[in-house]
Amino acid sequence: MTMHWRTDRRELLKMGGGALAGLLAAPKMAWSAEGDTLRLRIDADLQVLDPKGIIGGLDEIIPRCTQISLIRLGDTRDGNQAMNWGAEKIEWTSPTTIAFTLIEGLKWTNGFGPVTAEDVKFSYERIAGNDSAWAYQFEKFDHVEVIDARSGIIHLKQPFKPFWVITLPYYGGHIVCKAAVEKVGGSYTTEIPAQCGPFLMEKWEQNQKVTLVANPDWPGPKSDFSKIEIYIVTDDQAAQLAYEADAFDFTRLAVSAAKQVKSNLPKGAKLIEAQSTRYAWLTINMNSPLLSDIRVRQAIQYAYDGDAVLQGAYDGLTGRAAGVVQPGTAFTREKNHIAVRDVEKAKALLAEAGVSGLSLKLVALTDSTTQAIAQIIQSSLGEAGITVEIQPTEEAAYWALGDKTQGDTYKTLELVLMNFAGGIDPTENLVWFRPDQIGVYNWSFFDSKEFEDLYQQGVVEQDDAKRKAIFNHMEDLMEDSGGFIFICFEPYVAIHDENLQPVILADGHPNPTMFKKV
Amino acid sequence: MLNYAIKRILLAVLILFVVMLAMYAMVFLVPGDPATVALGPRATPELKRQLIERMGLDQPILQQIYNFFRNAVTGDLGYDVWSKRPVLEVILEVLPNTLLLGVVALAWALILGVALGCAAVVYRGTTMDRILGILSVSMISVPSFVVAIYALLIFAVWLQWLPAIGAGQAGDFWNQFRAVLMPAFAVGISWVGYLARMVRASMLEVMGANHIRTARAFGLPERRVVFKYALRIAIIPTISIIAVGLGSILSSAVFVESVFTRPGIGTLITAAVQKRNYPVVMGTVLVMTAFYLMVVTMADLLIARLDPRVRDVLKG
Repeated sequence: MTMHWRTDRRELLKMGGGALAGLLAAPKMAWSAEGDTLRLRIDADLQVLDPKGIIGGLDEIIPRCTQISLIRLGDTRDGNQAMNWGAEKIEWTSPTTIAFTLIEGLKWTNGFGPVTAEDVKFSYERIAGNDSAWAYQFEKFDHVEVIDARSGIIHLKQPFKPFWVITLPYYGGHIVCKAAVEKVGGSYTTEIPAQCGPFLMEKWEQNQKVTLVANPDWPGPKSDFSKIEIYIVTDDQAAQLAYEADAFDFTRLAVSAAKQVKSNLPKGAKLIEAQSTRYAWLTINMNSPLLSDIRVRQAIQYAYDGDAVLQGAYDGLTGRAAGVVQPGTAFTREKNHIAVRDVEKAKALLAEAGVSGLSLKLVALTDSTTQAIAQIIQSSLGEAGITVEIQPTEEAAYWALGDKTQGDTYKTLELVLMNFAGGIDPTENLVWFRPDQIGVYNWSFFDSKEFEDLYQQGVVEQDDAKRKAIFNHMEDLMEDSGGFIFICFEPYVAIHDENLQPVILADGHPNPTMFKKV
Repeated sequence: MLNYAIKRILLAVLILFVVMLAMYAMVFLVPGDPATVALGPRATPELKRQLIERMGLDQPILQQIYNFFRNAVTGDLGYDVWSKRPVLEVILEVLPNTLLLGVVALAWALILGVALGCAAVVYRGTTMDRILGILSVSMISVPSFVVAIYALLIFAVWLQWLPAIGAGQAGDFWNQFRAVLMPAFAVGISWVGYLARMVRASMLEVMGANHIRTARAFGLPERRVVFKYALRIAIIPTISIIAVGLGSILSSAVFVESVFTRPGIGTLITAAVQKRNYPVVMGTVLVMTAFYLMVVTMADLLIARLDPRVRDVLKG
């Protein structure tokens, strides 16, 4: 049979029309995963998967799937309930010892054999006392005593109750394979030498997607999904549109999108609005010559319009923070000492300090929420006669500003808008303001021996009422120093398929291994 | 002609060298230690040290520049500091996506742009000409990322005909074709208007030429005069414009690839700059600059071959 192709105008129009009709006749053919695949969206690619050097975001989500921790935490909206995970049995046997037994059948990939108590010992001891950013979680950790292949005892130097929630289920708490890690030189970045969790990392398409598949050798409870696809979409707006086009089942949204999405929720979608552990504050660097007088710093605290920030930048979705400990917990501080705005008082303080025509630089990240806060601060401080020049700074360069290893800029910063992902225990949030954090994360130059002493007391104190008093006093010291304005705990906004029950951890990241079909 | 070709190629090599030197200067002018910036504040000193070594930043700058060019000549652009894969392999993996986007965008822009330009000449001075003029200028004015977002809203969110993100499954032509439609539409739309105006202006100039007047005197139909005799000459300037256009389209691709989360050179270089992944930044800039210079040089040589006026000048 011979095919005759005619290339005249009519034939071309006919073919074009046919192609267009074919395209139009294929509705609902968006790029969607099929079967029991869970599709999530994350805003940044992975960098370091070794628990010792995890940086955040996807770095944390993947090890939750590919490794195990002895215990794990439930959804933050349900109170972060701790439950056994890699350990079939784990309990405090004294204020300084925790006995554990690993579940049977846990196996490393790549032929590295069973997961052993020796691996647990190696995983913890390589971080404790090390230069890892997570070493603080192991500050009171002493060693792991190996009893047999699956059992061991964790020994602490001092009683440290938060070890259960801040260390075991988190970053440094992920177990790595001793033999495999030693084989690759003691640490790794993006290639996990051995995996043992419920999912295995199948494919990493840089800046695009990470695919995880169910681990056939996983002896624990099976996930509802056999595959997890994690899409990396940096822009929140693009991610929202892609969600609406059915490109994934779950994505976090920009806070500014909450109102609009709520009023026009896509069909078959559910919105999550929760309070996150991410706390935002304004750093006032008391080492700056312009801010060395406490009256000037207090003037800024009085001139700050907290209500305007909450309404203008957060659409009223969250309330004013009175510290760095999350509201609604047993340790939350009741209110700020300077809780009400007083512009006249601010002016009076400036006059008393003999300061006029004060002009300050405010460093702020470039995202829309932070920029909105910066503009409101600029306006509110302007009413007290303080000129604020906003310096938008992209994330990578931003973190170098307060880092003492990067030069002397950290000494002369003036105002900086900051926010950190917080933890469950107050010590996790307060740790960054200790004197040894100056030039690291303590950009206010807040140098209080009393604060440090209280921190050490709070870490070992077992009584919750006493702990609350300690932590609240630490927050008093922070505010009274004039180095901080507590802004809020940021709202957490996400959208997901209504047939899905997501699990969000306290750090704001989803735990895909716990997602369920409804 | 041969001398001209050699001169053009040497000029391209010189430009490439200057661009890469400028890139190196920029790397060192960006504030902050690249390793700290790339790894974030919580990185361990050990990780920072490893990263600096992997990027070769522990060596003197002149040594780095020398190493880069020496290795680049042999096709070695170094290693991606995160995935540890050869940079050339990383680039070649996504380059076809960007080229496909550029070619499809330019192809539809060329077909429609030339057609609109010719139509404007056929109907010159009429209401149709004015409408086409307004339409062309509107297309030039609208930014590609705005078109991208609206296309996404209409075709992916509302109608759900086309995929919202990605470049389609590798090896599945239909899937990849559907994935390229919206990005190519967004990237190419301003070029439709630009080419239409360009072709119209060029055609009007040619329409006053002696051979066109002769054709008309012979009583040939206007359409035949336009398409057969005028367009053949008027299209020559668009060759160089298309070459420049491909460069411009590749720049627009940075935004459009971000909106559609489409793997390509745009998303690769954006992520690499954000993460201070310098080997990938340098490698990508080198490959794209070389590609662009190659296209422009080829266009210049083609014009020299096709345009008798240029040919005469070169002959002296």
